[in-house]
Amino acid sequence: MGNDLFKLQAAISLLLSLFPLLVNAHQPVMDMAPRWSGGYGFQIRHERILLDKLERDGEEVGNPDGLRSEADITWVEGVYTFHRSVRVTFKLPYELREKRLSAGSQPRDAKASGFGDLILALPIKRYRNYLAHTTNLAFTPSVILPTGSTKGDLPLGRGTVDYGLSVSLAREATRTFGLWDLFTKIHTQGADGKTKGNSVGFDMNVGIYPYQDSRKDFSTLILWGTHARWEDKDKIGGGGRDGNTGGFKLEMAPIAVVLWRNMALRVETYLPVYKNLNGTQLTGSYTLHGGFGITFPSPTPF
Amino acid sequence: MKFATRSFLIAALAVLGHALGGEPTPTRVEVKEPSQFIVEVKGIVCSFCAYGARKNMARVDFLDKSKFKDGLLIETEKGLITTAIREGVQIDFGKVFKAIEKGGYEILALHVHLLGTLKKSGPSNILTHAFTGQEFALVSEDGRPWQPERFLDQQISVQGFIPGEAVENPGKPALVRVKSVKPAESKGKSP
Repeated sequence: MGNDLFKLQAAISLLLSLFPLLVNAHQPVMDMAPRWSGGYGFQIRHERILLDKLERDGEEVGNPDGLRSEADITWVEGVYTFHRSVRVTFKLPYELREKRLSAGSQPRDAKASGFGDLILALPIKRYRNYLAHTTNLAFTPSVILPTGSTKGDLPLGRGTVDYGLSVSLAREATRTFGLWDLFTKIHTQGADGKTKGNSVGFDMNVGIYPYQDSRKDFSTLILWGTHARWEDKDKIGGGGRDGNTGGFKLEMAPIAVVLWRNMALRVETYLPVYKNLNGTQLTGSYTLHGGFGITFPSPTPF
Repeated sequence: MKFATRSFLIAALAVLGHALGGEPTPTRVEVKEPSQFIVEVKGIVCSFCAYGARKNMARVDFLDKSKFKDGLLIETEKGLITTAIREGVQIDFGKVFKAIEKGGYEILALHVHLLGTLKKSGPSNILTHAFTGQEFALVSEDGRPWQPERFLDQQISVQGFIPGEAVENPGKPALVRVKSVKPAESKGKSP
């Protein structure tokens, strides 16, 4: 009976916990462009997430029922630059999710596909330009709108309006790139009385341009990403907390970017380095991202 | 914890650098041809990010698009945009300023190579650039009045610049600070 209750609790937590797990404080296109007034751009980014290991209080435990969660999320993103200091962005995920749940003795598979929650953001940047490098300090408030379906065993959205805030610093020279980003997400109570735990995260991407040829408008960028995130436990009805949610994760990511004219291609894979998750949760070995971005000049004369 | 402390310190130093960084001064850029000018730009370190500035500059009507790539050579490693000019067409400096500023960058200086005869017009030293037919008023490198008596009524070659803050409205005729001057057919010397 105790074991069944544990499985039931884990299943319920897993149902609640699979929402955009990672990042995404970064802004299109590639956190760089367009820098020019009246410019706009689009980005397609794909995430592949596989969680198939069960951990309890930080230790991997057996997973005889094969509990797992898979997601293929394609993000459609866009940006418009009013001025280099003020932009507006949107990010809309299209999700294909599969999950093996277990309640009692009978494992149950669930699938869902469709659009998730829309994220709108307003990056405000203050640039300092020098002859050999440029820096910008950015303040980016965002709002997450409930456009994803909340129905079924595998909801694609939370049905709530949530908020995000990021403060970041970027420094770029002809041979080096650095981005440091501190961000937080604040969640509101859902119709079911539950509130996902708020989170605080820190991202760092630092690297070099091993090849840059401005005559050919071609360059490559190699980065090392560090992603740290702490998430509070979810609040459940009656003022309690779900002990199988939240915790701390530290991940590292090798990142490769190719830039040509007005196009950018980026690939990264997140590898877990350290975890301290509460209770029993599904975790994974890696997460893969790939993205392609393109920018356009202002259609009107300057 | 060590990693977190190191990361925080690096970020903190970068923020401090962002806040306190000093302003650069124009470098001694030499413009090889009278048919070109060079814009020294602050912040232009990546050609992907410079795409907008390139597209804006490509729209100006005095560009000779048969040279370089659509009339422009962008060297991000030096922060320079070399612009090829059409013969007989005057440079609209205000458009250059807008193209760069709306491209997301700032001009440090606009460097020119002028070739023409130096004349006195009241207190001003006026040179009509032979390639474009445009008049320029010449002053010394620090912006003070220039006393070029030995070059008056002579064909001279001038390396000069317009400071970034003056490019939008350089005056009529445009005020150029002289870095070096030489008679049109011999080696140069400082003014």
